[in-house]
Amino acid sequence: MTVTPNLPTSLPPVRSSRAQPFSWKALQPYLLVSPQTIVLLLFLVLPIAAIIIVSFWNFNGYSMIPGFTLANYITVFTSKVTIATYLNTFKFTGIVWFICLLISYPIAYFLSFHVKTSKWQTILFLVCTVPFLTSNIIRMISWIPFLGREGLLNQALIGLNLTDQPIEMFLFSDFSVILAMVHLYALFMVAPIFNSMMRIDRALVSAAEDAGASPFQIQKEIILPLSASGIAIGTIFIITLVMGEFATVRLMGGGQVASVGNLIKNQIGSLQYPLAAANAVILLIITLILVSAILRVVDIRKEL
Amino acid sequence: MNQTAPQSKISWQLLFTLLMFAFMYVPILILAVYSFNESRFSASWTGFSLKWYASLLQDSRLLSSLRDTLFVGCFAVSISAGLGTMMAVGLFKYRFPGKSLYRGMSYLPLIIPDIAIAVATLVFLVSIGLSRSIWTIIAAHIVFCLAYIAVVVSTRLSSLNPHLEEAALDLGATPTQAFIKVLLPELMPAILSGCLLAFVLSMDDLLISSFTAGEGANTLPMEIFSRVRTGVKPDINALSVVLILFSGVLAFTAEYLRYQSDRKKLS
Repeated sequence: MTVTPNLPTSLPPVRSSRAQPFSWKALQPYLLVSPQTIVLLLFLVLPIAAIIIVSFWNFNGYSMIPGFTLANYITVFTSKVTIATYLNTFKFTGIVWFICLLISYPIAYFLSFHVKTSKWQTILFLVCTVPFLTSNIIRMISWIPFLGREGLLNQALIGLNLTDQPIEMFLFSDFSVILAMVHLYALFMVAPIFNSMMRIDRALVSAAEDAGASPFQIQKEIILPLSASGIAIGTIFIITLVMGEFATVRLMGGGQVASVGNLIKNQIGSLQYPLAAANAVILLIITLILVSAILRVVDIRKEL
Repeated sequence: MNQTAPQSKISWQLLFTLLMFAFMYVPILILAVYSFNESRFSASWTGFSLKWYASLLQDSRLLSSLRDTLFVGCFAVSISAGLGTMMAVGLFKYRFPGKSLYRGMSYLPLIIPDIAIAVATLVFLVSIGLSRSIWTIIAAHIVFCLAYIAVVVSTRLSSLNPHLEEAALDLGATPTQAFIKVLLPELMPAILSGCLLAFVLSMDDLLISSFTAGEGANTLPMEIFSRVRTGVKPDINALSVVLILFSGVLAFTAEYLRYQSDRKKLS
């Protein structure tokens, strides 16, 4: 939004709350929006400023030493293990995002275009939603009896004579981590895509059909572009969720799988606060870069 | 209501959607079945039993963590409900300098990874020397509850009929009256459903709570996490079923309220 300077022009005056700077009316919006903003400044912006500062501090075995050093960042960028951990986190983010998109797009399309009554749309969407509002840890551990060494999947495979000994890789592997994350986060993709598909004017689709467009062309030319903002919002959710993942990696990876969230948690556990702060700052910057890149490509404003 | 909906053909999208619903529900159902298993070990079924549910009720540690969780959730959500609604109304009704900055701020918690919020809050508390307690958990929970409530209420506001409030003003209502008698009732379903969403998220949060919790404060997800690290016991299965039912009912209520208000809007 641009602020109009008070130039002496012949244009009619812009209707604006600035006209009467000291009236109750001009103050009103600020009274409404300031409380939340103050809370967020205190509990979010200030702490983030604090970790940016602390990330330049020194530390020894038990406390932080104020100062200015790049040592924490150098440690992060020169450690092969840390770099590998970052790459692993990006890998998870990319794979989980891609699978979620592949799953969510058809579901959202089905719910918004194939289900004809709004009552059933709501009911089916609810059925989708309920598991996602139940505890994440519980939904994670719910996979354990299924995937474990003596789990149902292995029992079934052995029963079908597809394998003669239990397959270990189902649990405590990249596979189980990705499976659990997709299970946890797919709704964050379904919901925004469903929302933007519901807003697509059905007449556009009928018109395209009448003009002889193939189903593929309708998808490519109409539905995909018009649901892009939903896909973008879903992508932002998935990125922020997976980049900071900690519990899934810990529980489903069984200590075999590394992620930045885990790394930070361990550093906090051993009181290396400045190092953890540096990692959190790097993670935050990467996430914000990704998010702003998405916002640059897709205009999501109409969805908000 | 259209009772005789045209019979939709069995399409691959339908099959795919059903498959995905199965993917979402089957693990939870398996867990639920095992919670009634007599045996300590999930591998074998030895008979139906409710003993794991009974043992939950005697687990004082679990019950006290449940109390902490509910306290944090209720406190954080009730503060956020007020502030978040004010924020949404302020952003919707007025144009003022700096508005986009305020709007950007209100979405900020949604695009910052939880771990960054958690570390930031922890390091901030440590560096200003504030000791951690249940109140620091509440403060950190307010941050994300605010964002969700403001978003849900904003969405509802943008689909409201703006003329209703104007009509009230034209008929001689004061702005306060117009707000309380016209706008607020219209917003109530959205506020409630935002609150329920925020409450469920707060009840479910492990990361932020475990970073900001102090001595004596222990939320339910923290307690569950520390127990399942060493393997899942059947009493946790039983607890899971109770929690899933509870948040399922909450979620259903939230969606039902939103659905009702959407229908009212259409009619």
